[in-house]
Amino acid sequence: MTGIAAVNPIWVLLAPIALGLVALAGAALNGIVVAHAQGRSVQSGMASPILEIARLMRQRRRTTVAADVLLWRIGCAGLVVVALLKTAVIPVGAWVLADIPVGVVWFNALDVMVWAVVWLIGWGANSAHSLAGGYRFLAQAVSYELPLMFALVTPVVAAHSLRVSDVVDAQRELWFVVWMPVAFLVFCMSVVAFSSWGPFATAAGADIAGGILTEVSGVDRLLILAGRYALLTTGAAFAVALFLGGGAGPLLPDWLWTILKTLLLLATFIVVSHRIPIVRPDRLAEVAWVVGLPIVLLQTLFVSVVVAVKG
Amino acid sequence: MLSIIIFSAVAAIALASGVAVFRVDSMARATYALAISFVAVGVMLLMFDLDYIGVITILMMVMEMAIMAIYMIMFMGMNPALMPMSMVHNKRWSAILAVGAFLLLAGCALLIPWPERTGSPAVDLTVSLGEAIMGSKMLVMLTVSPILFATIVAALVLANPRGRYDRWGDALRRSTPDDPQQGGLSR
Amino acid sequence: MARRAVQGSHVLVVEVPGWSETRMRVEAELARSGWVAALSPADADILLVCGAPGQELAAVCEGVWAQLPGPRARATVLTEGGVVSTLEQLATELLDEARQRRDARTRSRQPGEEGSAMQHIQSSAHEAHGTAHEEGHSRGHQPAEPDADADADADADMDMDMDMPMPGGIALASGGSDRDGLEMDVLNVPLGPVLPHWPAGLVVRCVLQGDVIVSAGAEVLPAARQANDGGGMGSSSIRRSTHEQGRRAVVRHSDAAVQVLALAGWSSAAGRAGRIRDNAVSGAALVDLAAALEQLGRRIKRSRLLRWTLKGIVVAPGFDAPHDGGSRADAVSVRDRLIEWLDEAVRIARGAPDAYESPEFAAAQHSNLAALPGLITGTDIASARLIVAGLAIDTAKIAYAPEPLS
Repeated sequence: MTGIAAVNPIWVLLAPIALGLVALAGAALNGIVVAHAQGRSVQSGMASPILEIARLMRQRRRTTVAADVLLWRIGCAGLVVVALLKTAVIPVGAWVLADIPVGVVWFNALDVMVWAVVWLIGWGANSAHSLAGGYRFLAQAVSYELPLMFALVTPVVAAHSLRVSDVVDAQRELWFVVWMPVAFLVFCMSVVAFSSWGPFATAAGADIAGGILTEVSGVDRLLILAGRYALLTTGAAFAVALFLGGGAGPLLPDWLWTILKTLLLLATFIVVSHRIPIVRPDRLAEVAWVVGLPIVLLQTLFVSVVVAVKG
Repeated sequence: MLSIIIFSAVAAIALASGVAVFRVDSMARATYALAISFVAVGVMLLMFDLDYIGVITILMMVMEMAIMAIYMIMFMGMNPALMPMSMVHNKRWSAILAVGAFLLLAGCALLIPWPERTGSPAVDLTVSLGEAIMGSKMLVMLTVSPILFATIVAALVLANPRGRYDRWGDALRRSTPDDPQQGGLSR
Repeated sequence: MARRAVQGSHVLVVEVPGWSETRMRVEAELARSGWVAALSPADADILLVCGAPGQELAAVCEGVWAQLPGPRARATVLTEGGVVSTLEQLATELLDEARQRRDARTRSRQPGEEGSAMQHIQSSAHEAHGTAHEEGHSRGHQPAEPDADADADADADMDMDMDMPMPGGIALASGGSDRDGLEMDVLNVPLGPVLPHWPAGLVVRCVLQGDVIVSAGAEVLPAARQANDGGGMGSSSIRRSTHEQGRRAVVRHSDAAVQVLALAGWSSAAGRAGRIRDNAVSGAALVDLAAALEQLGRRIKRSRLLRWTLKGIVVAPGFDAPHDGGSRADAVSVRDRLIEWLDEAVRIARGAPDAYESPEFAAAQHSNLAALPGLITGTDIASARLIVAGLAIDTAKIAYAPEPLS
């Protein structure tokens, strides 16, 4: 396989740690928002992810009658693995794990893996609510996937390359978010959707007693919850690379800017999600296909025309 | 040498999971065994330096298997409990056809005098592969894709047993359509 | 680490009809101390039963207890005053390593081998139970078919014929025609008495095809006795001041609003409504609450996204127009109910004099319960949950059956 840059050994070790820390920061922010809504102090909110980790590590795993344990456990572990693989193509400053020439498509392929993983979690538990959650995720995914793909194509067209670092370089004069706002918005919504978060969290919704989370406990539950935050983080980091200029910014070094922007975007996702009711997949489908897809296509058309005219 | 070893290993995985599709005890496992087989083929394409095609193959196949799982379980369904089931029908003829196809393709692969390589691989393999396959008919290829999509949509619309009059009333004058499940836009 | 683990415990709250104020007190206490209300037994460390359950409900609680993963603790709380001390005691129990290890040793590794007490109820445990294997057609973008699921009391079926395939001792389901005329599996799923944001003691036994409820039957599992604070049937005999009745009405309306908003997934609005309810329960002045209620009501009326997601979910059917093509303009939707509750609560909080519980209130609950199956038939699970929350059935008025003297 040609085109993979030489991997900096330090970054191989640091990347999962960085992902974990940023995801933990996101979870802490979520805890703060919840604590504020309940009238508790900020400290207790910040500590809540740590408490939850401790609680889940102490809890026993469970199983159900006639569960498909192999597929179930693969699903539970899969979310975190997918998130780690996604960070492989994201450049943080000068470091990148694998700057493959088709980085954008790699990212897209991995978020399709999330479909399989979430469905396996829902299927494996042998429970009606759990399976309903898995199928809801697929129903929602079918709706957002095409707009997501076109939203990913748009910066690629402008940068003439599928390599993520080329896309970051092409934003040196003007960030893509300025002239591709629709694509940016659709991409952010898709990130929230494939993380089963916020308005798109029907797969784990309270009306089906927790959906995919209904029958999982202990380490499995910890992996799924951590996987959700990790996916949200990598999605935010990728949005920064594709639309918000990567590490560009005055004064501070590249990698710090990338991390700061990722944290900002992650915070936006987390805070906004509490203020919006959950979107139901059957309602979303018509809107996504009839309104969402044409708008994104128009955006892509506009960008293509601009690129063709500029030569 | 290393690449031959990796290639053989990946090929063995593809074959083994393909066989597993017919041997496992539940539809979900059969579907995902097939997914593993396809992903292994995608990896093999990556080994040919066909980056884009390899990753796209993996993407498409996993997406298709996720959707296919729904249909396989619907039509042949088994619960997550592993129950012995048989996925083969018409064993004699399918065996004959399979063995025959294998012999034909293997024979072609081994006995055809493939030409020697002249020159070196193009810098952008995807572009050159695309031009070699579709070059003279590029305009047709560009229009085929939206036409396929339109055909699929039209087929679904035609297959729907509920027509306009069921949804909008005999005079087509209801304000919102009468669907068993309301869509998001009430169109 | 165990101390930290217990600091963030998840509590599964089971409310017995008649003890709603106790349950609200528990929720307020959980919010104050940073503990979380669990969504399912797998999520929970603690089982807290608010009230004295009748026989059936007690069997359900046993079933749920069997599903809690260790380390676990359980308690029953009967009065509002006992909530804080019970929670502290539970925390100590969770930290008691020796006791947890003893408990863990008594449990088997295989599901379904414990809990012989739940044999006589099909719907013992919390989640949906039923089995199916699928054959049928799925519409494109709908949340689709649930498949086979777990039943913890499988031992009841063991004496069936051995030639029927029965993985895990549970029979596979048979098919039936669904609303499009396609053959699809039939699942018998009780939406059980222990679900988040669900009326206390209510059991809706649904027949599901895919995600869609084909038929349903509703009943309320009664409590063992009346609650001391007069939540049961004898409440009309206790004279209460108008102010007290107004407070109760505000509490009731804001609690109903919390359930609907939580099911609609709007956590900040649900949290706001929950704070208002907790303040009302703990005796804050109603006029202070009026401003907060009004603000919440304004926010909900303004929200177009909420209007869009709740569109078409009808709680009371309107009159069909005589000619074809009439829309159900008179139907009352869940959103209308929500706004109605908040407006009513504002009115009462501002000191409206007629805030008493009308004598028809109990009868209205019975008729709501009777109308429930008809309303949810043909809808999917998500809409059905919203409809049930929109009806806001006060099960305390329906369920009061004393334990038989033996």
